[in-house]
Amino acid sequence: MPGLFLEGAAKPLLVFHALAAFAGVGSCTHLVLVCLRVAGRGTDPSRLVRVYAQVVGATFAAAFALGLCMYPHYRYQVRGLYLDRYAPWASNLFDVKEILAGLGLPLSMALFFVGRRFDAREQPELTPYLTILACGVWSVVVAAAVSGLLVTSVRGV
Amino acid sequence: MAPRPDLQRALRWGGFGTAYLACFFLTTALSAPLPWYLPLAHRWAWGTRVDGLAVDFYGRVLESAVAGALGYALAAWVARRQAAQALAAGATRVAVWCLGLLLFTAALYIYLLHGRRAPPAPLPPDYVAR
Repeated sequence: MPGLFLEGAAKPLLVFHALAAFAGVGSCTHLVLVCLRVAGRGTDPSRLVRVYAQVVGATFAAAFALGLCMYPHYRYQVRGLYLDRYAPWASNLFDVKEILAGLGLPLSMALFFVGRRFDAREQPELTPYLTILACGVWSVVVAAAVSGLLVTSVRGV
Repeated sequence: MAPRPDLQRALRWGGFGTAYLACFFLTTALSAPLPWYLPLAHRWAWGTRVDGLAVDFYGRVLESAVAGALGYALAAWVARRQAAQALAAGATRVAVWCLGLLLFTAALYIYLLHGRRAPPAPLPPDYVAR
């Protein structure tokens, strides 16, 4: 069997990847709700926006980096040998998930760097900006988490 | 009018996101050449398509990040020349562009990957089914 990058660490990487992804889903759901509260009622939970924006950015980056580390193992052992042969729908679904994560990366970075200094009283103009980005990242992380669970239910490592 | 570093920052990161996502879309739609990683051979290859088991995702993200860095620099240049009111409108506009490009590119990939039958990798002689 050919040697692949970080092949022996595939299982722990998958567990940490999933943990970071679920933390991302939770924090991003909170961030969307807090942003909508700021936009709708004009209340000031700025501290929560700052905290969740940083958590979303950090968990997204962690899940993305862990996914990149696992990818060579997945591409050969999971997709190449199994999914493409017996479950092509799962192979295609994984590729959609991977692309969604790649597309969500710049939005999560913008959330992190802009949201961490947000103050609703001094920067009300930034509320729609952060709300739009948070909704985009939320859609990505939820779709990616559900797709990841479905693919892993067929074959994980 | 006092400078607004918060709005300038938002515009800069919006510029990064817009350029990154536009590059991601264009490299897919135009089949642009990319660096491909060959996990079994542990080497990189350059091209629009590569024979055998190869990964385009790393190269596509890398190219998009370079485009994003250029978008960031361009947005920083624009942001220094804008009044606060224009910056606020510009920041919201680039956020909408980012979301639109994300949805459009995701839709393109769903269309391209729907029903795909990729050829499986050949089973190695010592392969044991799990």
